[in-house]
Amino acid sequence: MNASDSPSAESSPAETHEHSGQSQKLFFILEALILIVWGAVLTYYVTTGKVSAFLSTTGIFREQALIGGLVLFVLAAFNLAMRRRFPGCGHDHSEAGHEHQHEEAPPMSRAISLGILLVPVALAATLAPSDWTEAYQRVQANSLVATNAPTAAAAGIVTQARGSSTSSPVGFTLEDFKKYCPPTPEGFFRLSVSDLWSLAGDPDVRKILVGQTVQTTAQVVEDTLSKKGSNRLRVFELQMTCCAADARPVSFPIEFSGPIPDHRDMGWYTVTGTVDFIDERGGKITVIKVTDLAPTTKPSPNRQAL
Amino acid sequence: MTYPDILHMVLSLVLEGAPFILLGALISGLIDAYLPSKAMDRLLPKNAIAAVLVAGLMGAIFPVCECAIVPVIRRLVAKGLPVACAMTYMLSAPIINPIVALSTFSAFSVPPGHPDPSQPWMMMGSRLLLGYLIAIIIGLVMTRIAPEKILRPGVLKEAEDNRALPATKSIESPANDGRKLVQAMRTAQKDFVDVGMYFIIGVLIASIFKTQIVFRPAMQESLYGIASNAWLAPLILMVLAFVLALCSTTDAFVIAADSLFTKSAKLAFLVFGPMMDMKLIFLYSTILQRRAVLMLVVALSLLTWLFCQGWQQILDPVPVLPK
Repeated sequence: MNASDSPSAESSPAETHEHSGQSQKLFFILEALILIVWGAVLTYYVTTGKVSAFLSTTGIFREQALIGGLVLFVLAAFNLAMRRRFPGCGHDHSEAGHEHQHEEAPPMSRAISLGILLVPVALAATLAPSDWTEAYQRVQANSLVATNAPTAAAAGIVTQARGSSTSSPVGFTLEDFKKYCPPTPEGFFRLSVSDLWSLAGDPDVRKILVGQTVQTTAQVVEDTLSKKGSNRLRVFELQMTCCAADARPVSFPIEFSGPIPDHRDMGWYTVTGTVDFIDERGGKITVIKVTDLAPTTKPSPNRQAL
Repeated sequence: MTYPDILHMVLSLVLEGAPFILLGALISGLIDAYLPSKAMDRLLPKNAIAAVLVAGLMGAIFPVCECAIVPVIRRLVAKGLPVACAMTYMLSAPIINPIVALSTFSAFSVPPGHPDPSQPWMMMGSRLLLGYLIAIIIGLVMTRIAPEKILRPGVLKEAEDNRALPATKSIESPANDGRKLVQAMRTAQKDFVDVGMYFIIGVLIASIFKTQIVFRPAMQESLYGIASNAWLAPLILMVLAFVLALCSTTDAFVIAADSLFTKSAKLAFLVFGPMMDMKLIFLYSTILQRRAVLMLVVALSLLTWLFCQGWQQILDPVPVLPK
């Protein structure tokens, strides 16, 4: 299927160029049109802000996608506009010493190539949902990857809070932490699920935060790792580093002092409570002892168009 | 099968990867039009072994990720870069580059007072060193193999056509009337289509594997059940790296936070993944014969596993006996 390989390697240059003829021109135009489709997908998703469901909002991933989309347009437009100039490969075949052949795959192979480039991308661009399915997320929330204790290298707030501290390692205090994460007027630390999860990886941070009131907004899911009848649920987040494909599930338990209140599985809630760190899952993990569970809507991702 | 999850992952990989495929195709087009034939001969040492050693470090100067490298390599081979040097550069560039070094250091950074403060340096250094060593070993072996046993016929023919020209002459016209730009853009389009097709095939298969197989609890339990097995753990993470097909600039963040696998197993993930994964198999197939790709899979697997077994004594000094 590779367009570089030819079944007619022994044909003369003249035959090769003749053979390519009309079908080569047609495929050249179709290839340029495929580039335009890809460019349209990239620019549409970035300019409408829909890209934030697929690419991380940190870094320059969205800018890369936008520039890529625009360059695809320019490349295709240039090639279409210049297709009648310097027919063929673009260089002078009459030049002395120029005896190379341009080999093209058979039309059927080229058509299949174009179909592979077009169909999956067009289907994904038109039908892909803006989030993973609930079934997929539910399994991820209780997976071993999500529920493991974090290492000290867990990326997130630990490193950043340490970075903002001017004190010595052993002198890392609650005041240092507050510089990075100022508490709300009510005295809560508002943190993401992945930040709260990673806190458990740092012994000094554990010491200063245990018993503090924290608040997070997250999806709440049944804790299938605990015994039936336990008073636990889990808060869950898919932590995206680069794109949705590399999203790492992160979850930890939240405990109620009494029976679990009525709730919607996989629903979005604002969870408030005191933070604790317990030995479980091969190390220290975060747990929130819930004082309030309030339903909320899914926070709107960073959807602003560039 | 949950088709929405497959499509969600396909689109995210396309949005992330397409700009890099395009970048590689554009560089390839420029090389095709503007780089004189045999120019590579003048850039690298004449000695084959020295040339491979230098090629392994080229990524530090010309950093190109694994998606972008394939069209570039294809064109460099056509312009006279020896196959052994091309393979060495192709394998090492996604690891031996400043962006990957920084992201690895950052992902494995530890707070002050941590019992292993050298961890970020060790992981970054080990990744770069192992990536380089494995790439040059493959490159040195390639110096002993005829190019016609490695390259696809089309790529080989392009290289031979260029080689047949006088040293001062290249196949492109010297006239500065826009021909070269047209040639560059046409080559870029052709390479984008060629490589993009294989990229899509790889992305589809990786998406199906990740969303339909790897995420299943039973599968994860099986994988993590052998996390403490020193012999199998690196192998398991190599398989995971192969299936997940992550970008080398971000893969360290995905694996660093894991607390079950040893550092040497994580190193196997970080070294093997950028050199060989589900989508790269198809991308490599645009320049290499199927047999050569298969041999590359076997050689990279063995070398990475063996090196990581040895590295275990440095990264995870507490011996872990096989179960």
